Amino acid sequence: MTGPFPDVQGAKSRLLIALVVDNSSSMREQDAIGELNSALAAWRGEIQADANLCRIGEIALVSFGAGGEGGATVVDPSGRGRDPLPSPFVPVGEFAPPTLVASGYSPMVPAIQRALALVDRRREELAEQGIAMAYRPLVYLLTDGAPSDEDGRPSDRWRDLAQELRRQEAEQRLLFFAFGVRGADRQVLEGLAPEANYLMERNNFSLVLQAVRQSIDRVMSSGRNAPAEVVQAGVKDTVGELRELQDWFIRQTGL
Amino acid sequence: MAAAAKFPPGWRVVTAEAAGPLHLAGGGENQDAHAYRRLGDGFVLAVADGAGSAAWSACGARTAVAAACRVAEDLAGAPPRERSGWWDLRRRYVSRFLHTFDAWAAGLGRPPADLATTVLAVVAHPPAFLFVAVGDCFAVVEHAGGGTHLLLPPDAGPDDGAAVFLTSPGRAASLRAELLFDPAVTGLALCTDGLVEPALAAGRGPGGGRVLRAPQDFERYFSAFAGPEHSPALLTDRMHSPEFAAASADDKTMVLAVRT
Repeated sequence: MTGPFPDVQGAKSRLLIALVVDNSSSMREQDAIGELNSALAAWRGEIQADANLCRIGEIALVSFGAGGEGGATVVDPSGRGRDPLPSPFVPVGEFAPPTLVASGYSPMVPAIQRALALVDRRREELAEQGIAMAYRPLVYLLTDGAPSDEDGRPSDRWRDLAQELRRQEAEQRLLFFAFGVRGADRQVLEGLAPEANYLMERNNFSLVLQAVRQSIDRVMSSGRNAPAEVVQAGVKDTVGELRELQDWFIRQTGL
Repeated sequence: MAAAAKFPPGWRVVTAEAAGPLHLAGGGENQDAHAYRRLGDGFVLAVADGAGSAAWSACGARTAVAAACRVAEDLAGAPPRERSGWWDLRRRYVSRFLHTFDAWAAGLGRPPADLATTVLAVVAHPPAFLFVAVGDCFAVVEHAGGGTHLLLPPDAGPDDGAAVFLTSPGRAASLRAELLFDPAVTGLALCTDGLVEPALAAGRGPGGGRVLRAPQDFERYFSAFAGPEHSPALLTDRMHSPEFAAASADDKTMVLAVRT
């Protein structure tokens, strides 16, 4: 019922979220890929319960492992396996991540670059339709390893990428977060996201995605004008609380 | 809370505000503020939106609307005798308002950035209206027989992503102070940017960018309160509705002045 008032207007801004996820062969160890798939499925339900996020949010999913362009694959985030994809982004309400399979090397840098390009293109498409960014686009790296080139050799191209990420953050064009689980290279995470890197114990992708969820809330509650360092500090606090909760739970239950 | 106040004959003021769902979920406070005062046969209305990222922004917002009203009472208790006097009033009001806000903010003993807020005020002695704004609050005007018009769009800053605050170094360049002389004005709506999503429409401008506008049915916000039959609480209920909560996670405030 709107009473004497007009209906709510249609959405005229968007929040773009890009997940860059590791599905290299190392993710087979201790079934990290299974943990990631389960966590993504649960996370889907959480984000789809948020009416505001469903209204403005769009998600893209880029994986890095075997296949794709230079090892980076733009996955259909609707889970329908569409090829070609009409758009790499889907509304949050249509997000249904497919089951990811682990194989190949770890071309992390091309995958992040691919995600940045997708965000840029989508931002331009939306601008042409008169649709603005509700908040800065959010790009998340989820990994258990270190970057390699397409042939599996260690790669330090992430150092150049880090500079590009800082430039885009300074221009308020995006926020980048780096999450690692057991086996991830701490130096790389810190280099890519000096103020927004998190190394979790075990293959705890569930905790990682809870932190991702909390960071989205933090961005939305901080407003689109908040400096990157303010948002990142807030997320750091929240992730710290999540970790404490998790530790407490483990101590209490032994699970 | 919603409220109706005795106002100059022929005008009714209705206000409503709702804390953003995320602020509520996090136990935070509403960082918007609003205030209004009668100025003889005129009035002043003000809304402000404290920055979500600033620690004391709710206090900054309250300080901003209080300063906007106090300075209006000091300088515009009666309208200038001649229309030309409005340009002088505009200059003096802007200068005194900024000075008053700065002085009061300094008295709070916090770094200015902690008090970051936008603000929008209108000093009205109909048919003359002085609008003063810094940042992304917006104002809609209703004209008799002419529909509604987004007179002061939200200024979201460069690239639609960095609104200027009353505490920002660049505020002087971003401050807007506009005069309107129009006997046909029948309604004013002052809104914080949390209402952009639920209440405004958007289209493409000539250059392809986004252009916001007041949709045709925005006039229903005014017509709802042109008579006495609807309680102001209805507007508060609407602001708290699931549809509004889904439209924006931000705090929302609307101050309406409606010719009755």
